[in-house]
Amino acid sequence: MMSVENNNEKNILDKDEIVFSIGLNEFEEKVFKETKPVLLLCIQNDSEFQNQLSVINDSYRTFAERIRIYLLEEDALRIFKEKFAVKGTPTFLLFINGSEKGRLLGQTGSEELNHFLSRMLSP
Amino acid sequence: MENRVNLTKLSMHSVNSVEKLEQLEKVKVPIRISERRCEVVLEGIEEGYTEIDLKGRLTFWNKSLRDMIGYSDEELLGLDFRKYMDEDVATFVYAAYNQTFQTEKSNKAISYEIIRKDGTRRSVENSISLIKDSQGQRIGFRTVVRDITERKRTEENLEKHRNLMQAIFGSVKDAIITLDKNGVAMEANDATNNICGIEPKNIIGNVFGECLTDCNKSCLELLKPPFGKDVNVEGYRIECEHKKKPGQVVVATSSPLLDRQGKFNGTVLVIRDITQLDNLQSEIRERHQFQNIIGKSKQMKNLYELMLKLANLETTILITGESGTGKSLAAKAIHYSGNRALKPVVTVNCSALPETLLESELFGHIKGAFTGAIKDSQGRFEYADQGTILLDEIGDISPRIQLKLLRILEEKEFERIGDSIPIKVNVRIIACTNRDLKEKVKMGEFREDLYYRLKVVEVHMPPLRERPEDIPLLAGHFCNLFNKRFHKNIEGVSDSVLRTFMNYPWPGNVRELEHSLESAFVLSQGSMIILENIPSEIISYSKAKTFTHKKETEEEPNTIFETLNKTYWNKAKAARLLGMDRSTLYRKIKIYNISKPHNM
Repeated sequence: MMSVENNNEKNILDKDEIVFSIGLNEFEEKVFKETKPVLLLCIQNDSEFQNQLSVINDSYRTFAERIRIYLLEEDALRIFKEKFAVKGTPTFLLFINGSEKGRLLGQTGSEELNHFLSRMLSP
Repeated sequence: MENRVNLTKLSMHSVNSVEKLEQLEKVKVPIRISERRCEVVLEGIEEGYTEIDLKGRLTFWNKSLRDMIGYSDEELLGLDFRKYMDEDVATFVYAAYNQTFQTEKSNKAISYEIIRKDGTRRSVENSISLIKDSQGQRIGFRTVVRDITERKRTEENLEKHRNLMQAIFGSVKDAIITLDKNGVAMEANDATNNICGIEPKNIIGNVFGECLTDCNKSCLELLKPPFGKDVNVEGYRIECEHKKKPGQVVVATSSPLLDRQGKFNGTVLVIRDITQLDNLQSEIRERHQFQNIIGKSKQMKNLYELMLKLANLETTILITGESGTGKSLAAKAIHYSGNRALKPVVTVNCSALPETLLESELFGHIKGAFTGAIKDSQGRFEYADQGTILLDEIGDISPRIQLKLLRILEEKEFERIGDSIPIKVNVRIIACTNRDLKEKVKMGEFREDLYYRLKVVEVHMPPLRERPEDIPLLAGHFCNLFNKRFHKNIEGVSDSVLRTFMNYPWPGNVRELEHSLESAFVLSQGSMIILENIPSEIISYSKAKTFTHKKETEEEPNTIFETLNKTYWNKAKAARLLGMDRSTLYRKIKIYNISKPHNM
């Protein structure tokens, strides 16, 4: 069978498969070519990781079908940071039609993230 | 006539007097109005007003002054001003009056403390000017007094507060920099020198961004709108790349400064050095894992070193190991640790497709190459150009594909199915197999030249049973993973589960361990994984092993005795039959106290 990369996507949050982790080689397909807005999470696997994922989970309930959410694999983080001028983590990048529309820096709460997404997704 | 003249004079004088009187009356009215106005003003103002003669006695005062000092009008009349202050204060105030008298210049804003009639003290501010008579003679002093008690109290509190803030500001280990809305530093504490390598005096008054010369200035991201202006940023981890502090990692926070109207006034930047903590965490991670591969055993550590060496070498790698040992993980770890990390990594499972389909997947085809080939198609090798291709289950590929693969390895080119035009690719090949390729070569099922071409470097993934010391670490890792996935809060596995795990041979290796724990997580109702949650085959194995061991131990003395009898107590022969050393047999005879029967 061809690349198992797609089938190896790790379900981070729950069995409804809200967030998948992706590597750099999936970026083109899952982010640039995706028709829905994509929220890409660049988060280090540290003590705040779980907390941030809970925040994402809460936001997803609000935005449900409107966006896709991907977590960049930690292995790919170092290279991604150079490529996309991400200077620190956590950084949340929103891509629409393959272009970055905005980003959020630092640890975020649900309200802040919702506000950011509302602002970015409004016509 | 004279009388007439006198009368006339008198009349004229009278007329003049009347006129003068009338004029006087006319002038008096505005003067009265003006006086009244002054009275109203003096009685209405908050400031105290008093006039003092040259002996220092009060001759005039307004309501505010009376209220300020707390004496009645009767008490104030002729009261010496020195009566309502301390002696040393009186001396000071007297000197001020004296200076005014001598210089004839007003003395403004003299501050001192007065004592009210009730003994309470107030702070006042005085302005003194001279009163002169119509001949220009100095006859007294005019004093305007302002009660500044509250203002002074506020100033003292402010000063105290400021000193406290300075002390705190100076003592915290985090760098704190306050910037105005143009990014110019207003304040910076000493810790800024420790973290940013710049002294506060070299930052204050300058645009902060221009002061940073030895690092990558990543913290300036927090000042770019909307951050630092409308949005707080917290816990932003940055690797500084500081020339003088290599490896420094900080966490930065920015908050907007708003005035009372909520208008943006500047930003506060707080930077905390977490290098030590970060290094500790990395060290712990590195000791126990390489990329996503986990294990702290000696074998795994050796493996990590090898993988690290291979990451940036362009050599072909063959990864061997039983199913479930993490061969794919190892292949990806090598890819992502090396120069090709940004390039594609494509995985192909060579056992999952029949030969024709696999050939098309790997090398692509042109339109019409075979039935169903309705258009040109790019193969996985083309897709992986400049990157890495992982060929899983390489032992299962057909001889035809083996030949094509050999060509790619040797000449870096291939043709699509149905095409004759060679395509050049620069692809690193990492092959994985759980088969014994050498055996397959002997059997003629695998090309020998391809085998040696693939096996330039072999990375062997050890089976889990050969590194049981990694089981607790792996169990911990999977527990964390499944807690996140299933939104549970399971603390770990119980001791009995861990013992069971340590004794189980894990034919499915890490994958089997992962699936066992995943199943246990689904079944678990409590805060720990217990034996009841574990798959039955693992429990059964454990029980069977315990029973066999127990049985063997209980029956061993009888077995030894019977064997010795059979061999007529020839211990060498008996030892051979029992499958043990002669010395072991002697020892066990002693332990079990086995003795030769008298009749033998």
